[in-house]
Amino acid sequence: VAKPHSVLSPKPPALEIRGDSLVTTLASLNRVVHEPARLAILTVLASCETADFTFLETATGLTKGNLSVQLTRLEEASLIRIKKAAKKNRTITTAHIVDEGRYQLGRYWRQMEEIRGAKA
Amino acid sequence: MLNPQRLEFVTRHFRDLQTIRFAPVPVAMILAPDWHRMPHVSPSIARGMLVAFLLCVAGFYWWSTVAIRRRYGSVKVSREEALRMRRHPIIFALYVIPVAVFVARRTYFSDVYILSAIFIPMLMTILDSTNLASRRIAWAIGLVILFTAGPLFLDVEKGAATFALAGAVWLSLSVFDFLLLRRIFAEISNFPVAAPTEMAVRRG
Repeated sequence: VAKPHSVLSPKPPALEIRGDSLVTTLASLNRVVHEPARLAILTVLASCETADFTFLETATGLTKGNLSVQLTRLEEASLIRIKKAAKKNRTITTAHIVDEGRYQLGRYWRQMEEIRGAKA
Repeated sequence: MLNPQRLEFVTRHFRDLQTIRFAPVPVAMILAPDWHRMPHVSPSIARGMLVAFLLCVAGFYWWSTVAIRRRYGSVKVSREEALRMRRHPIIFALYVIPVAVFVARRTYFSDVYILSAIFIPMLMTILDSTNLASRRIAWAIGLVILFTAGPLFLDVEKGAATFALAGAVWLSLSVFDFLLLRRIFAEISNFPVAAPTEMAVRRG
């Protein structure tokens, strides 16, 4: 468990040392990407061309309802595109990441690296 | 907590981890030393047996593909990603060898071609940095066994022992890959998604 920062502590934590830049980085994190379920979905989609709903469900461990909601949010944010096709009385849902989504995911990991570097 | 590198690995190599769909082929190779003990049969019966075997291979492939798709879903990897390892300098250089043998001296071409067909795909898996270390090590062990013990069995049972060894290595690696796939998905179902900060730490 991390020791809480005391006012009398001679060395304040890195977050305060770096001041504005770190706070700015934290504040500029994309909230859509920063959510764990959506980050997992984007990580999967960034590693392939398309993935179907069943694979995303298995790979992320999300329930069908939650996955559906998160996919809709990502599509609304223009980070992914969802396609639905009918096949033998079944609807096959596939998703793929768009350029903006790939860019936002890369930017997010770079920001996280900066935060890690600042804390180290 | 789930490691994002594992998530990337399982997505990128989802199809590669399903070589178990060809299981009847290595099983038949393992049984190779017993083939010549079979009583002689007429060519028409032999052809019938071959057709039955090919149907068995195709049937198992179709059934396992459908079963895996229903259970785990499907992923389409981009053509660029599928061809990524072929552009590796070592792999590219190895592709040149059978071509050079074919052009210069065609006598040993079939031997060189068979060796390349086994060696290159195995080396692609070992050299691929996006693979998990455990998979790369397992495939490296398989390659070493095949190319060190294999030649020793060339004279046993008219080479059938080497064939059986190749089948055993192929089947073992297929089972290893499929168990790895199942284990990663089991880990995910136990720990659905990690906090982004935790994922960032594990990614680094």
